Amino acid sequence: MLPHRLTARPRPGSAGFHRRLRDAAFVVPVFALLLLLPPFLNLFRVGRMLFGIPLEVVYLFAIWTALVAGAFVLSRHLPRQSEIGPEIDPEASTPDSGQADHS
Amino acid sequence: MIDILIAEDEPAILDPVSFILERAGWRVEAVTDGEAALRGVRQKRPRLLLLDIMLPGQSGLDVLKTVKADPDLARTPVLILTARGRSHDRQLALDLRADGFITKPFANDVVIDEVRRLLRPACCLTG
Amino acid sequence: MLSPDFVIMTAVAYVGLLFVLAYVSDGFARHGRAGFLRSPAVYTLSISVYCTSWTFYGAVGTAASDGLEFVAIYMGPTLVFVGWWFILRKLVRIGRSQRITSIADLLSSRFGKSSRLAVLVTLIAVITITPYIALQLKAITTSIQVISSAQEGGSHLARIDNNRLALGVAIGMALFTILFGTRNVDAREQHLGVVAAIAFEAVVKLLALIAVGLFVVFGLGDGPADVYARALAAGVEIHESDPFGSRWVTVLLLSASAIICLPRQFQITVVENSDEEHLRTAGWAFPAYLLLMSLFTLPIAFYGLATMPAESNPDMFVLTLPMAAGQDGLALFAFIGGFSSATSMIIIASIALSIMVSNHVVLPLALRRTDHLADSGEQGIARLLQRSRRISIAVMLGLGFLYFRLTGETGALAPIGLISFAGVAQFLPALLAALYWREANMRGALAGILIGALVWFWTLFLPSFGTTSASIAALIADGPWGIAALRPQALFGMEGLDPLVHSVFWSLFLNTGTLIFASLLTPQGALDRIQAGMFVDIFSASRDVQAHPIRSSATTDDLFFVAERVLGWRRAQALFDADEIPRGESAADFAVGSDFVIRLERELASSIGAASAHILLSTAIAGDTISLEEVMRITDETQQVIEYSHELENKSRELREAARQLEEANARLQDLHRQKDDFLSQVSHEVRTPMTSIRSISEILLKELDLEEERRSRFVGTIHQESVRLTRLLDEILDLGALEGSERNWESRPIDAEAVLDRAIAVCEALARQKGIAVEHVGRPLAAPVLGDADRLSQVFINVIANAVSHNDADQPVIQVRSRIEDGQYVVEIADNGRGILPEYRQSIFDKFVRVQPESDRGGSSPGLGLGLNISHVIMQRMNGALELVDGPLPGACFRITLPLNAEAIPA
Repeated sequence: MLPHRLTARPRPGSAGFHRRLRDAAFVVPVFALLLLLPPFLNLFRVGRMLFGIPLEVVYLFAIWTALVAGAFVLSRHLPRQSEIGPEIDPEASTPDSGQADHS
Repeated sequence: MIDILIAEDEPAILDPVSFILERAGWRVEAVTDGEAALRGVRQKRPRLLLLDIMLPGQSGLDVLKTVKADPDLARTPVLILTARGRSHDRQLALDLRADGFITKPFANDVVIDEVRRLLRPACCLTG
Repeated sequence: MLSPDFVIMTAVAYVGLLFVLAYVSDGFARHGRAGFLRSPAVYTLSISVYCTSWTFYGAVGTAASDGLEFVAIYMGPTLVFVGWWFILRKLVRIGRSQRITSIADLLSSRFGKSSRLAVLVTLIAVITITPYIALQLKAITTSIQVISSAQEGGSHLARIDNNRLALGVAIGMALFTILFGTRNVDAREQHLGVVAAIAFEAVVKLLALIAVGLFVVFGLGDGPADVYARALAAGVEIHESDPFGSRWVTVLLLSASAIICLPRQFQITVVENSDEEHLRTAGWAFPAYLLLMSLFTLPIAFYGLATMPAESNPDMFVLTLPMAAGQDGLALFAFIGGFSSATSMIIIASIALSIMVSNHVVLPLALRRTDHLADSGEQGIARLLQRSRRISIAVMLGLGFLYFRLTGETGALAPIGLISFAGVAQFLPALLAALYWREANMRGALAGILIGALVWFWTLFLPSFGTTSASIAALIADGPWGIAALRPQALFGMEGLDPLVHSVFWSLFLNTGTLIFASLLTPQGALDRIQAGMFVDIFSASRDVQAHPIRSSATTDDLFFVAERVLGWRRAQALFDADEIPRGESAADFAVGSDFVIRLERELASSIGAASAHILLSTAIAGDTISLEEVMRITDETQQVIEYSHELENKSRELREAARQLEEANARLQDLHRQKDDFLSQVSHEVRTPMTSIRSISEILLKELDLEEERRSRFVGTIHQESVRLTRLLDEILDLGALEGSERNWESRPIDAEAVLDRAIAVCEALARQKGIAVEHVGRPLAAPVLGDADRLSQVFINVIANAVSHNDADQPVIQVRSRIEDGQYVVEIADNGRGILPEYRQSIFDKFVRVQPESDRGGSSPGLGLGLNISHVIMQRMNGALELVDGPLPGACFRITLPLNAEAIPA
């Protein structure tokens, strides 16, 4: 019922899509860090088992796996050096940021 | 009622200029410093002020500024006479809303023409 | 079955394999067929040099004693790599664009290319990493001991001398590292052979650990659930006994910082990076590698705890479990895995440290020895660097071995590693500030790192000897001199904390605080500011931001000389040719662009570090009068490396001074220019006024033929008068021109000034009488012999008297002329009773075109155009005399003229 909204979603490759991905690249590790800090972590330290493995172990390794998966997805879509030019300053023109990397 | 107030401190210039303006039929009065020029404009309400820039006391530009800032006097045309002919000075005077600018030395006819030009609207209204 | 000899032979054979691998890879690289070596996979695998024998053996030990804490050691790096877009990408971009060679180089480069900072960071790195290397040696010897002794009930223990074993390993590693790690001195021409070997080792250790893990979980046990159940049955605590708390957070922080700050990680991740895009793969693949490495840690630990004898070392479960099950082959594989993890760490760490030591310590010291450099020929500096790197690799491994011998067998693997982590974590605040905080400056970074390192040393490093040294144990218990507040593990009374947490808290807190406050309170150097912009804005910087305060006045030969010393002839040649920079006699006047100088500096930096490169080039270029050799000789007299930057400071101070003088001269010139303009505009004004009158009146006279006689004659009179005025103006200008341009020859001859004065008064008296002015003479001497030009002097007198006459409008005007001889000077004072000179004119009375009286005064007897007094003033100066305005006896002005008497003419 909301076709306009659907078409308004940033498409892969568009500037908006890149911006969202960049935000996501920031949020994923930060959020994961929160999940890995004591108050949260201790919620799972209750002496229970899951599939015969201590719950806190399952939790830690699950988050770890999720992180790897998330990083894999992000790395597939984060813009490449050649696609983004200099960030922050849209005025600057050279896409390789003017560094003499290639010399 | 006078037509033209001349502010010029050099008698050697004042003398011939008043002469030609009077010859052309205008009533002319002269002052020799800035303060007198302002006083003259306020009291005599001339139809035109012929103003030298290098006046003793208040300079011609100061007088010009004051005249143009006074709503009562601002419509009085001001014709600047100066021995400093650099375009910078000219621009300065025009920025201060001088109505004309003549560099010394000048041909008498130029002064007459310029005065005539500046006084014309008034002529047409009265005529 | 596994004899020590066999195990050792296997290890040697493995190292031989690495040799071949590195050699072949280097060969590929030299022939430009190193494509696969520069792949993201190899890059990722080489980063796993993070997993040392501490991971391979120690993680199981940690898991056995502290449960899940070992996960934090891998979770920190995981988070950093998952967030690669933010920190690592920036780090790699900067590292590549600035040709960074090490973490010390990065910090020194960002903070104004400070050599002091580089030395400090290098020093801390060496102190921190030495125990870490010792840890690897210990792991290797212990593992050899374990694997070869278990079979024959310890009888071989005596035969294997631990120390000799460790020494052998150290020597072997040193040889390998020297052979493949110092092939060339340019860090940017990365160590492809070594990296290939490291990547291979990464595969070996991963496979070995997974093999052991699979064997334990599915061979010995019956799946993970079974392993945990058995451990539970054996009374092992499988759940976390303590809540996750400050220690967990601390280890997480330390490991996250270590993956960036450890010299070997920096070397692999930043320096050896050949393509920024590789981070994209490493961002998920390295965390995945860590995950795989950790997957079986807990099961192995719990199975070991449940089945092995209570006194067995949990650190060695990876070896002892297969051995206990009779799987010698697997045990040998595990041993090779552990050996791999240890050797890869030793190799990369010693390469990274040797680069730091040689670039930041040895090179600056050696630069003082000019002769040595001059003798060493074409590639002087390059050869020096290579030699110093080889020596420092040997020294690093020697230090590690020494530490190993001194500390012996005490302690588990993990604590030593954490001490190192906490040490290098002191670089973290400065590193983050370098990337993100523009205002951070060199003093802040230096002070922060220094304080942090000192606190780390006091609270963590020193107490680590507490078990072996009684005096240190006492120190820990009571504090130095009994000061309880300074107890290493309870600083300022902070008790009850885990020692690691305590140390990390205080060191990082004081480190960061000092960094921030020192940066805010001290000024930032110019170079510091420029580098800050280039680092912080690396992603937005455009080409022209690269401005650099080096101005090249050196010839291209000078530059080539420097480039050749460091890079060698071939690379220097290529660099110069690429930019078509000519050399030799014909290029004496060729202006080298600053962009080329910047590129050259960067090329040099990739070999010898930013600070050294900057010093080398700055002295060669900015030192117009000082040659490179001279700079080296100057610094030779000083004892410290620091003097280099000192010299540079002086140099730049001289430059600043020169710039200031130039500015002043420029201001004077502009002032003169303005005076000239004023003069011309004034003259033009003075000419135009009479011309206006003359032109206007003559037009009237020409046109108005019927003019009344009286007016006509007045007009003619005005014309005449104005012509006279014009003539006088021209005379005065000519006079002035002659005076100022000293065109006219002065004839200074003995004259009687008194006679001159008499004549002048006579000339003026007629004028004075006309205006009814009385001229009084007061106290005249008989004669005044002076040296001078009589006509000129007369002109001055007439000028001044005429001035007094024309400006005197008193009712009873009087002019007083008094002259006397006083202190060998002839003094004349001419005073009048007129209105005097207004105070605002007193300063400028002798300037050109200054008129004292209102303009209305200027009637027919125009006194001149304001040049008179100026001319008189100049004349008097020419005759070594003076013309001044003084307070006189009459109410009006009083001018005093003084002239020195002619000594020869005075009768003895």
